[in-house]
Amino acid sequence: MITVRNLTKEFKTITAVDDVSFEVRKGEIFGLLGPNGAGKTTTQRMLSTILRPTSGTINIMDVDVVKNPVGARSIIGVITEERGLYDRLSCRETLWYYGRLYNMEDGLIGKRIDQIVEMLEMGDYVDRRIEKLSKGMKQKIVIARAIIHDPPVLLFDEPTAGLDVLAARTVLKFIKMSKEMKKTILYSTHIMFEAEDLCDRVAFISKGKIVVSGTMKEAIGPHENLEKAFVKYVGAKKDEFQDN
Amino acid sequence: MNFRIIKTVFKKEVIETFRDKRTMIIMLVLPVILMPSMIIGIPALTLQREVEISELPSKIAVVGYNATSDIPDIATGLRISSLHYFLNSSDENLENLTAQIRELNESEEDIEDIIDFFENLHFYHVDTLDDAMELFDDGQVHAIVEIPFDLLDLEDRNEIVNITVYFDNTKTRSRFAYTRVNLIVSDLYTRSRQQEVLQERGLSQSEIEYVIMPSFTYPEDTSTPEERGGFILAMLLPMILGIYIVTGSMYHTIDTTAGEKERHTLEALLVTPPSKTELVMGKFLSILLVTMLIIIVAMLSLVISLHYSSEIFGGIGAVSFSMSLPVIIFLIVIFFVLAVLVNAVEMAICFFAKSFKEAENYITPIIFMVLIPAIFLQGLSPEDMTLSMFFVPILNVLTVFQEVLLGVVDPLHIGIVIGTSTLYAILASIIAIRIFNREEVLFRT
Repeated sequence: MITVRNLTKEFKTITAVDDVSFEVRKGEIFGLLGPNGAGKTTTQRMLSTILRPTSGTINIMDVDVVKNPVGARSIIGVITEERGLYDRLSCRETLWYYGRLYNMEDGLIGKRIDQIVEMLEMGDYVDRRIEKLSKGMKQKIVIARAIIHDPPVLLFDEPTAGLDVLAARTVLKFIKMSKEMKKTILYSTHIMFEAEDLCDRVAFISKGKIVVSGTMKEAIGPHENLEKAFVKYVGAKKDEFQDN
Repeated sequence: MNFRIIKTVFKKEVIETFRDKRTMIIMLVLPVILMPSMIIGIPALTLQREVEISELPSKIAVVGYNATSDIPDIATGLRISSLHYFLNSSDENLENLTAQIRELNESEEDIEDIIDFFENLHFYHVDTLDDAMELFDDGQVHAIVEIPFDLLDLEDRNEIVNITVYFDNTKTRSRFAYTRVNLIVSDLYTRSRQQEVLQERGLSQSEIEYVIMPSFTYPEDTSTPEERGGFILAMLLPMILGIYIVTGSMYHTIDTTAGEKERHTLEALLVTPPSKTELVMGKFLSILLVTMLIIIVAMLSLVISLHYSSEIFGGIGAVSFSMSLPVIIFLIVIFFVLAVLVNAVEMAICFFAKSFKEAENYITPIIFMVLIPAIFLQGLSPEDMTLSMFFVPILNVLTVFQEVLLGVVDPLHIGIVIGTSTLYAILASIIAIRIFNREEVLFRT
């Protein structure tokens, strides 16, 4: 479903992503786990076509992301740590806007909005201006925006960072819901218990390189839990993560 | 190029802008309040002040010749009387003066004017120039007249009489005092003196009148009200509208470019299918619309203000103003061309900035791109304009604009300006799109 091969991204002085390869199978949640600055966001941004890789290939549902970014964009939904919304638009206007940007027919956009509003229980405030809404409500709009075009592939980059407990639960609940809907999900985070709860398979990334990759069971290995395993693999290379 | 996408982006940006109080204030309140207050308020205040001052008496120190000893028995017109009045502004003296004026068979109305004039002159005799200067510096007198001590001797010998008037050109009341004194010295005194001398030389009254007959210049302005209105407009408009073009949609431009970065909405936008060119086009058109709305509101406000200002100041040298429809259409077209260029440059700069504040810092100097040419052009008439001026970006638009306001319609100039400006605008737009396409600019940290 998602195949990443030898992906490398060099900025002026640093190599943010260094020869990364992994595969996300249809309907699974794949966790890309690493500390801050490990290259998760850069990898996600290359998958979501915002950055061009220096080398390597990305294939999403047989679409070559590097060669055909526009084709790729209509099959992916992206939720990132940055939850920017247009404050002066209402929730419905926001969704209409993105629906049109995804080149959907007006009739379809209307139907899809009704569907999402029901699914995420947003009926009470769908026509209110975003500036007047609570954080939790805004978070739902961010989710709704990402799935307005009903993409089969979802990319989550630190989706719970900076959220309070309730808003974070909304996101995690939605990710589970998406799995039930057979979406293919790439999920990057540094919060291990979230990953352990959600992911089918994971990869540890550190300093731009994948250090371990496999099923949840394989990743945990002899360790007590995913966090311990993470500290073992990643912390060994990164002093500040050294525990005991 | 997907026009539905461009339209979608355009519509969304316009909705957002119209819901933004800051932009609306700049768009509507400023032109509606500022323009009339500039065009009506400032001249009205100045005028009122001048009228007030002109009604106040002028205090004048007189140094030198002391006429108090000479009884005003002079029959030769107003010469010594007026000088005496310098020194003795008493009621008795005024009556004397009035009587003499009456003898000259002036009309009652003229007499009133003359008496008014003299009543507003208060003279104080001061012994030395130094003393007078002290009073002058203290503001107790508004001007000093220095008359030779031996005035009468000089007159007897038919020598030149030098009368010096000291005044301060930077002070309104001092200028008024000078004007009043000057009227007595160079007009009344000189003329009566000429008459006297010629009489002594044995010329008859009719010969004298023939020799010293005053010549009057009747000013007849050949410019039409449109031309005069155009001249004032040509002075004001390029500057005002130029400022509006730069600042009018500034917040909107920043909001839709650097603002998207600062509010973190950019990433969500970039993962949608539209090309960056389509996004830029939609945004750019919304900026242009806002600018043009502001320009139109500003122009309407200006036209109305000028109309009222000419009604208010109609009698006092103001211009009556009229603007024909073709001129208005031309102005809108030419400002559209300028707006395209300026807004494209602004957009390119704002895309580069990573925050609202940074964009504001970058964009502010752009105002000089318009202000400097506008100042350069002030007071320039069409014949001063060289062909090369019509090729310089921004300057060319302001130049052809001024030309048309002054009544010159030169198709070659207009063609060059529209052609070159379109070219510059396209270049600036391409640069804006290029900048928006650079990932290191989009994710500058």
